[in-house]
Amino acid sequence: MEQKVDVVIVGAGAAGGIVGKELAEAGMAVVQLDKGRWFTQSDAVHDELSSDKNVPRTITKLEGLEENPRSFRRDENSPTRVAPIGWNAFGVGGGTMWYGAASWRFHEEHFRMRSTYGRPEGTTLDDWPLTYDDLEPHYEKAEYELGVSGLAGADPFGPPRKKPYPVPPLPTNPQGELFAKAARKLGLHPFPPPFAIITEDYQGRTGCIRCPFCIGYVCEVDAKSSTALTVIPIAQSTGNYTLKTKCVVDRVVTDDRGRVIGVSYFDENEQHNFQPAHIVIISANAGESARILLNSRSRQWPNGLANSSDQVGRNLMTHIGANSFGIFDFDIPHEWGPGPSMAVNDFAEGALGGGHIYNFYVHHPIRFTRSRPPGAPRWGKAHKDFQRKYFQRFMHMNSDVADMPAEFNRVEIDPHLRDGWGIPALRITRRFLPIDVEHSKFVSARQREILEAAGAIEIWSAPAGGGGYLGQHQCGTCRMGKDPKASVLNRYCQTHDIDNLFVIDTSCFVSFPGHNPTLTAQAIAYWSSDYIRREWKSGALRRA
Amino acid sequence: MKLIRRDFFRRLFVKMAALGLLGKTGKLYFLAHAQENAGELADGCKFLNVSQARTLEAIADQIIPADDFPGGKDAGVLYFIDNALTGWRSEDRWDYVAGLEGVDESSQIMFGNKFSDLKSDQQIKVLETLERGEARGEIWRRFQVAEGREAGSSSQRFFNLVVRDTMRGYYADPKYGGNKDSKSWTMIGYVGAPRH
Repeated sequence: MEQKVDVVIVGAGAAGGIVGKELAEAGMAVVQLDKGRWFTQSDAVHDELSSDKNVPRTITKLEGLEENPRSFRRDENSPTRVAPIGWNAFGVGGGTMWYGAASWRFHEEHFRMRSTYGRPEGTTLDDWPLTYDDLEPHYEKAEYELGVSGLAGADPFGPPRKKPYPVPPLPTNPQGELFAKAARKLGLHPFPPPFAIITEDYQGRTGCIRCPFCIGYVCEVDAKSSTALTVIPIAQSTGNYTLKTKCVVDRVVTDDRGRVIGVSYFDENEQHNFQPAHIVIISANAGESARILLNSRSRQWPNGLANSSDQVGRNLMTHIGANSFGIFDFDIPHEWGPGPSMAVNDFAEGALGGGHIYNFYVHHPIRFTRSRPPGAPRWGKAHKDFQRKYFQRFMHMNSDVADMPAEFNRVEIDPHLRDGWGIPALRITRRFLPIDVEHSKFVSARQREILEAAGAIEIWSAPAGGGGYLGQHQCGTCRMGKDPKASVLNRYCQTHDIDNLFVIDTSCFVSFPGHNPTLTAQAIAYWSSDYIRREWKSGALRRA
Repeated sequence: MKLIRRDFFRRLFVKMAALGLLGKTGKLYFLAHAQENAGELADGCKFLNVSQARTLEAIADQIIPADDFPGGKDAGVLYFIDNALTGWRSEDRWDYVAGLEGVDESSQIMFGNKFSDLKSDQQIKVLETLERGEARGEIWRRFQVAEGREAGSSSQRFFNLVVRDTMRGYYADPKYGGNKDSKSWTMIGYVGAPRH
């Protein structure tokens, strides 16, 4: 048994890394456990085949995928399929070492969707128990402590902000210029989107060199503002913080009164250990956090920890994408990373469903072999001719479109499947609602209009509602709310059921607007950490 | 003790894959028929034999035909795939053993010859039957996939696999054994590596 600490945090990713730093800085004794290892510049293998993101399941650098199976099904009556975990990055920094780093703030109305638009039938759409104003200072802190580039005021639909971005936006590339021209022609409002990628020297790191290998790759110059490069090193410098890598938590342990007393985990040498702590914080991502709670059943908590509401694992949201493609009869070189350099938010609010639109990350040749209009040959001379003719004359419009929460979209424990450590694995039940598909189709129609205005000679869209499995952008599985009967967490990510147990990551999301989730999870990490620091100081969390 | 346990689950997972739970047909073939790949190794290969290599090169040359830039064969797609089968995609090797044999069997039935000895338009016809999932022959028939798994018949699934790997071998970084002299990158004007 390890020495008892003030707080143990499960997961050192996008949100957990921030919580670790905030609590360690406040003088609390912190142990942080992560399933993965450190990734460094030497992991920045920059060829397309090295990236699981661009070429799913190839030479992945995300170790242990095969040891992390999950099962998937569309609904209760569909067959279940077992597959490795997918695009979840285990490791210090979590997804922030690998992601595309889009760093949006949600808008004011995104926190009160139910009172603005009502609750569509079959959904559990609700207001958040906090507002944009509550989070604004924490968004700002995230942008400044991590390093987010962008241009304040350039987006007329963006939410109000008190300070500019700490570093200027990425320069516009040729695709961005074409996108902006087309969008303006349509009366839309293009602007450079925000990224957790620094564009000039900032806090000891150097700026982005605009290489074409960004989303799905470790940054070779550390310009991506991962928590592993920013806040976690600060936590380590406090002297009261320990990060243990390659530690796999199987359950949260409770005492005979039902309060949590620590976590049990397998360490690097497969030894089963116990880490006692006054406070347990789970920041393992919306799939894994719910899994740990559900796997932590006990006599007092027969349905899993903090699950008296039966809401743990439910209301899973993942975004329903919208993707459209166009080919042109002139060159639009797309080799300056990260790729998206102009966006519009004209369709990201003011409606139940919608999302930002931008041109996508730099495309690479293998992925491009699958980018073809419907009916085009997949092989042979015509395929090669298309590859030659259009690789430099191609534009991909991408949006993360809002999807609705629903009770039947959920993660739960698969009754048969276990992972490489013998821990019961997740079963994911997931299907998009007709209203989600409608929203996706609406946004892809807007994408096609932009491509047309840009002069594309052939335009097509990906079918709406593909994908949707867990892997990235997962959220909602431990939703926040005022009513303990209908939600898992209060507005500070503290479980309603157990006062010294918190879940701080995208699990808490109540609804999911059409913007990437990370910066909001990070703002919430600052907001919740503030609360924990106050409560700790007052002694409220120190009982027993 | 703990290590043994973890190994057990690892093996269990592999077994599940073998039973088709992960959508693999070739492994069934392997378990039922072949213990190891027989025949003389093809020149420069570590797994595929001479006959398999000849068939695979002919397929790769139809998937990406030569013009003023190399086809799949001259770009070294064979070596890319052989590398993959002995390394990061070893789980696909029995799909290839069965699939390449299946392609030759279908060629015999349709045109009375091995695939590599067919005329170009005959080869295309054989591949089109694979693509539609209608390839004839005992091998394809025996390895129909369990219901509810990846859609398509066994011949279609093998075709998808070989198209995917040929594209990768032709357009991936040359360090993986294909894309000889980066000619595909020159062809499309791809920057390939980041500038410094």
